[in-house]
Amino acid sequence: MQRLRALYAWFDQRLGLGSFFAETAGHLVPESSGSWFYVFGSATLLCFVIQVLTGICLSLVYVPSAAEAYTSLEYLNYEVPLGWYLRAVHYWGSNFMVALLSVHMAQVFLFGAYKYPRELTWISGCLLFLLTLGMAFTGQILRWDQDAYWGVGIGMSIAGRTPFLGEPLVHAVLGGPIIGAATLSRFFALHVFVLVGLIIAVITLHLRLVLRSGISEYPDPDQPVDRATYHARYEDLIRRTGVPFFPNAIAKDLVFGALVILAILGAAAVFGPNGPNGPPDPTLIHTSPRPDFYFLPLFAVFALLPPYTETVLMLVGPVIGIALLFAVPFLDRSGQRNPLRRPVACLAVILVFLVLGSLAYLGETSPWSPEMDAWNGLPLPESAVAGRSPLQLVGAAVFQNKQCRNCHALGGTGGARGPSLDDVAARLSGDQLIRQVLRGGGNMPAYAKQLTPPEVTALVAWMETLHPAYEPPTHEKTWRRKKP
Amino acid sequence: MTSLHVIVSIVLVIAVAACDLPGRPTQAERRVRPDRVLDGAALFESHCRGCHGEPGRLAPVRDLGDPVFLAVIGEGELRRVVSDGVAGTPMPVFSSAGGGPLTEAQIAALADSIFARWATPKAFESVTLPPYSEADARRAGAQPGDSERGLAVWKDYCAECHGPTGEGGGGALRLDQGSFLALTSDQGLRSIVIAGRPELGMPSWREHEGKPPLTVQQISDVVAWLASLRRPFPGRPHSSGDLAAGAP
Ligand code: HEC
Ligand code: HEC
Ligand code: HEC
Repeated sequence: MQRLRALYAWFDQRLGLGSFFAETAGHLVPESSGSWFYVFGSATLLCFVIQVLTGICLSLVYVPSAAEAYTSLEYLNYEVPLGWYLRAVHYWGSNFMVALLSVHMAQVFLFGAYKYPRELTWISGCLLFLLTLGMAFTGQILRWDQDAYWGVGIGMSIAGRTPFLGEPLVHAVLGGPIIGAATLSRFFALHVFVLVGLIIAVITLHLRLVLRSGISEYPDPDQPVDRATYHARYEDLIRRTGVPFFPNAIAKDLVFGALVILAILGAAAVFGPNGPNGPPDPTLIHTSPRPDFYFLPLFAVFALLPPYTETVLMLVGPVIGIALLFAVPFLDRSGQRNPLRRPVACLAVILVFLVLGSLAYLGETSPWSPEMDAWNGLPLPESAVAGRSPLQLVGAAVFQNKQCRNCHALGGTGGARGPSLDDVAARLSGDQLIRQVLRGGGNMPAYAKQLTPPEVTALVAWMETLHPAYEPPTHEKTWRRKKP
Repeated sequence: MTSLHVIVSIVLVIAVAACDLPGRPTQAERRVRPDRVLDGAALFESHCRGCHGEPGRLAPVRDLGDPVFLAVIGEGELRRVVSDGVAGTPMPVFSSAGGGPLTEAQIAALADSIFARWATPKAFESVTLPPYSEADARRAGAQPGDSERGLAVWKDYCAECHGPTGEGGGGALRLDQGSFLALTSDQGLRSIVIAGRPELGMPSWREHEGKPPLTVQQISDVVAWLASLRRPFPGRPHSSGDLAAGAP
C-alpha cells in the first residue's frame, strides 16, 4: 500500500493527475444541473465511445476494397461467431448516437443554454452534429451494398451541382468522375481517420468550453440572462449550491448511460444488423434503395421537390439551415431561458421534429417511386377477377404484363405513385380510361406505342369492371362502342 | 469469486453465441443475386403468380396447379413455353437468351418445382390424354382442324353454355370478341378446350356432361372454328382524338 502511494505520488508530481481530476470530475456544478434533462450529452459521448470500440473490432475483419467489402460483411454476418452482433451494435450505436445528439441539441435549445456566455459551446456542438452526420453518411457507404451505391450517387449528384467547385469536389471524393475502386478507400479514410480525428478534437474543445463556462443552471424563469450580472450570479449560485460533478451530478448520467447501453445491446439483439442489402452491381435493379433513417427526410425532400427548384434548393437550403443553426446564439443572446416562457422556441422545436418525422415517414414509404417488381409477384385480388368475361380476364393479364401495378395499387397492394384503381370505373368512363392509357399524363407514361388496339380494348374492358358494388360505373360514355 | 465471474461470463457468451437471438441474420435473409435464385417456389411467386395466381385461386390466366393441364402439357413443353413466351399474348418471354429475366437453370428449377408440387402423374396412368399441340395431334394421325366440322362440334358441345355462335348466353360469357381472340393463341384456345378452366367452371375435354369425351379430331376442329372467328383488325383503333394533345 505504501509502495503504491509512493508510485502514485511520483506520477502525480509529474503529470498533475490530482489537480486534473479536481478540475474536471471534481469541479463544482450548480445542484440544479443534476437533472434528468442534462443526461443526453454524456449519453451521446458514451455512444461515441461504443462506436469507436466496435468500429475498431469491425476494422479487424472489414476489407475496404470495392471487390471485397461486401463479402467481408457477409463473412461477419454468417461466419464469424457473433460477428453479426458486432455489426448490429455498431449500427444501433450510430442510430442512438444521432438520436441522442438530436435530443441533446433540442434540450440545450429549449433551455436556452446557448445564451451568453456559452455561444461557443453551442457552435462546437453544431460542428459535432455535422461531423456525426458525416460519420453516419460515410459509415452507411462502407456497407457497400446497393443502398450505399445509391447513397453515394445521390450525395455526389448534389455536390456536383455546386457552381465551379462541383466537379473537382466530386472528383476528390469519388477518386474519379464515377463511383469506382478508389471511392470506397476514400470513404474509409474519411470514416476511420479524418472524421473521427476531427470529432475527438471538437469533443475536447466542447468539454473544455463546458468546464470553462460551467454547466448551465436549470433555467429559472425569474432569473433571465443579463450579460452584466450573469457571471457574478453564477458564481454565487456555485458557492451556495455547488456540488462536485463527481460523484453527485454524474449519478443520473451513469444511470441513463447504463440504460442506453442496454437499449443498444437489446436493439442489436432483437433487430440485428442492417443489410448488407444486395451486392452493389448497377446492372441489378434493387426495388427501392433507401438511406439509413437519419437521411430519410432529406431523401424525401429531394424526391418531392419539383425538378426546377432542385438545384437551387439543394445547394442553398442546407447552407441556410446550417447557417441558422450556427447563428442561434447570436440571434438570441440573452434574456429568458425557461422553455415555458419561450413559446416560439418550443413551437420551433415541435415544428422541426414534426417536419422531419413526416418527411422520414414519407421517405420510408416513398410513394413516389414505382415498386419495380410488383407486377408479376402480386396476384390480383379475387374481387378484381371473379365473374369476369374472357375478354376482361385477358385484359387483367395485359394489366399485369404492362406492369401498371408498379404505380397503381389494387386491393391494397402495388405501387402508390398513381391512384389506386380499385374503383376507377366509378370515377372514369370507358372513354376517359382509353384516353388516360393512351395519352398518359400527370406523371403517367403514355402507352399508345406500347399497346396494340386489342390490348387496349381488353384492358379497358377489364378496368370498366373495377367499381364497388354500391357504386355503379360512370355512365357518361360519349363513345358508342363499335362492334368489338 | 473472480473465477466464478469468469466462468459465468464465459457461459453467458457461449449461450448468447449459440442461441438464436431474433436479430441474428438467417440464411434466408441473405441477399442472393436475382439470377442465382434457384428455389422454384420462390421463382413461381416472384414471376408467375401475378397472372397465373396461386393454385386453386381465381386469376386472370389459367391455374398452373391444375393436374389435368400439367399432365397434358408435360414438363418439356412447359419449359419451352416459359422460355419463349407466347407471342401476341400477355405471356412474356422468360429466358435470358430472349431478353427475359430467368436463366436456363432457373427455368428448369421452376418447372421441376411446379411438377413436383402439383402434378399427379399416377392419376393419369390409365387415361389417354389428347395431344398437347396441334402438331402432336397431326403426328398422332389427326387431320388438320376444319372450321366447318368445328362448328358442328361447337353446336354439340359448347353452344349450350357459350351460345350458338359464341356470342354468350347460357351461363358463360361471349367468346367471339375480336380482342379476346387476338390476345389468345391457337394453342391457348386448344389448352382451354382440353384442360378447361376448372376454377371458372369451363369443363375439360372429358367432362362434358352427358356426352362422350371430345376426340382428338373434334378438339382440333373446334379450335379451328374458334380461330376462324378472329377478325383482321381487332380492337378499337387508336383514333387521332385519343392521341392528340402532344402525345405520340
Ligand atoms: C358447362 C358450360 C360450358 C361448356 C359446355 C363449355 N364452356 Fe367454355 N366456358 C365456360 C365458362 C363458365 C367459362 C368461363 C368464362 C367466363 O364466362 O367467364 C368458359 C370459358 C371458355 C373460354 C375462355 C377461357 C378464358 O381463358 O377466359 C373458352 C375459349 C371456352 N370456354 C371454350 C369452350 C369450348 C370450345 C367449348 C366446347 C368444347 C366450351 N367452352 C364449352 C363454360 C362452358
Ligand atoms: C410510372 C407510373 C405509372 C404507370 C407505370 C402507370 N400509371 Fe396510370 N397513373 C399514374 C399516375 C401518376 C396517374 C395520375 C395521373 C393524374 O394525376 O392525372 C395515373 C392515372 C391512371 C388512371 C386514371 C386514374 C384516376 O382515378 O384518375 C388510370 C385508369 C391509369 N392510370 C391506368 C393505368 C394503366 C392501365 C397502366 C398500365 C398500362 C398504368 N396506368 C401505368 C402512374 C402510372
Ligand atoms: C403477364 C402475365 C403472365 C405471367 C407473368 C406469366 N404468364 Fe404464363 N401465360 C399468360 C397468358 C396470358 C397465357 C396464355 C397464352 C396463350 O394464349 O397461349 C399464358 C400461358 C402460359 C402457359 C401455356 C398455357 C397453355 O395454354 O398452353 C404456360 C405453361 C405458362 N403460361 C407458364 C407460365 C409460367 C411458368 C410463368 C412464370 C415464370 C408465367 N407463365 C408467367 C400470362 C402470364
